[in-house]
Amino acid sequence: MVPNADSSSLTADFRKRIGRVRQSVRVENLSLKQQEALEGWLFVSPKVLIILFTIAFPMLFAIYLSLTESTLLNLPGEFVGLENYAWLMNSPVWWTSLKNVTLMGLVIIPTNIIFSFSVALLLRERLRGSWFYRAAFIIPVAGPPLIWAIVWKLMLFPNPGGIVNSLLLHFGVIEEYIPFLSSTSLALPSVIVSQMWGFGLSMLIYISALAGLPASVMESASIDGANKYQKIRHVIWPLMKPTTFFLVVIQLILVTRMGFSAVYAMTGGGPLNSSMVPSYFIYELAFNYSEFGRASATAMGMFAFTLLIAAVLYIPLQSDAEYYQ
Amino acid sequence: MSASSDGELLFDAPNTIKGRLERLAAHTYLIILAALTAGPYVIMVTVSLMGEGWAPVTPPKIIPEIWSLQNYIDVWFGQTALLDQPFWGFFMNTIIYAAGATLIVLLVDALAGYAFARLKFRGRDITFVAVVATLIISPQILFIPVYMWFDQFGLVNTRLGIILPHTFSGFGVFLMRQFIKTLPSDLEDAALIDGCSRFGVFWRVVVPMMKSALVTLGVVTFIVTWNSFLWPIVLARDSALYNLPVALGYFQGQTQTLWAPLMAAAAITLIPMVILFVSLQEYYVQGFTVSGVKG
Repeated sequence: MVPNADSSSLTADFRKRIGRVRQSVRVENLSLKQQEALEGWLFVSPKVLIILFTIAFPMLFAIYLSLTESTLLNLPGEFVGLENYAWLMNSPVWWTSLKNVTLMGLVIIPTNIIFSFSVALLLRERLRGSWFYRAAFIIPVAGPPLIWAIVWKLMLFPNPGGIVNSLLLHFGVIEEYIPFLSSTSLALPSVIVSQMWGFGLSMLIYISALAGLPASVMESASIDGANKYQKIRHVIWPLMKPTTFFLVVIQLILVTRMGFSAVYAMTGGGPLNSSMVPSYFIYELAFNYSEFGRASATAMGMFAFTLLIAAVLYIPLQSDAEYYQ
Repeated sequence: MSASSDGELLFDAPNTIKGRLERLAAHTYLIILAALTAGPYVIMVTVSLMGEGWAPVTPPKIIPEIWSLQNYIDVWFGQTALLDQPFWGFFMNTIIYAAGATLIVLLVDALAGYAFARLKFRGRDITFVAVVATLIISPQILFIPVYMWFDQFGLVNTRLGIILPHTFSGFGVFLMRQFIKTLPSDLEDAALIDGCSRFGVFWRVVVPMMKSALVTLGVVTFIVTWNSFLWPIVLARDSALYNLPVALGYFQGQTQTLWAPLMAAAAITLIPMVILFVSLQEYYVQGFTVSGVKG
């Protein structure tokens, strides 16, 4: 099918061959430009249709639902205007959930960068057992977040079955079992700590970026007498800036859905909503209280929060556009 | 060890005292981190291997007194308390969902990525931005309206309905477009001029050149769909349509959690993904590198 054409001869008799192409195409009465546009839309249409069907129309529907008093038995319910939004703005649980997810992001994103960068840097040193370490760090991101959360729940039990309590007691750090997940002050920190270890994907991306580190830059740093710390601080870290930036941006955009499975399996948002996050709040309103109208308003609130983050990110993204071509 | 070919190492040579200390410190740090990332799953496996005599305490002791694969057999064939059907059914469902979503995503995203990378048409750039912007939409925002919308079309409680929400992400289109942009277009032009149709060019010239990107996108989609929890629990009314993560709920009853069978079921869910992810990690790295996702 594909001729072994050499590219220089292509440009040479391109004009001559155009005529042949025009005759060979099926839709005779379209210009080449129109034909290309038609093909372009034809090729993107499956994706566009899927997005319209599973995102665009449901989103419009969600906006309408958020303006109604809908429950499981009354769907869609009567129109109540902005009542659900007024309820949301006055809901202390909503504000707690926003505060919690912000705190989660503030802890998890920086630790994700620190762990993944340091590990990628160390694995570059060709240590013995690198393969084992790499596999071990990937494991938490390969499986369902739900299973990760269930196992952490088991580990945090306040009895001999919970390994964390058992170890702390064994080494005399604590006197009695700590109810990590049923204490209002410890539930959220416990959930956050359980979520700090999913840095495997960031590590792989750093590893691929470090592999592309120009050898000449490292050599000239050595010739200039830079020590290890200076090489990392002033050569490698700045060169990794686009990668770091990419990882932070992605995680910030995804921050609102952080912790859904963990909260679902470990605390259910409790005790007393102390570990609630927006994504689980929506789930709880819909599934446990069948308040679909309020849940939809909360979903819009969560969407607005994501848009706000994206808008704030838009400014540095524009100024750093050279990194993204 | 002599100086490396691809960039020099930071540590001193391993035969010096300083070099040895540096390596010891590095190993200590890595082992502690590895214990935190892989340790929980080691506990999962040891609990799942509890023999028949395990006391129904909540939670069980971590180290089994009798080691046995009995839990795996019971879970797989549905002979555990609380479980009303064999787990292999959920396993098959999960394979169908993951494979179905992967096939759709590969075809649809590669086609769209090719058009966005190579063809000129009005509204292309704004459409591309709109497609990628779908990344900011999380399932928790969509699940209520999608459930009601799908209900209108009879898609609730069907396999197709459960597969569809796993195919809308704009990530694949972005990955495909970036990857195709790095390929030389000479061959495509030659094929076009010789009268090959546009789809023929895509199918016979472009697709064979983008294997690593397709594997990357395929693995990502397969794993994400396999691990998916929210869409199946929302869209499957019938327990016969549950996937593995949803089916784990069987062991978490109102009054007690059956930890040993639960951990065996979790291992059955997790282990195929760990094998897939770890064995294909080179493709991930390559796919991200070539497509410029790393920056």
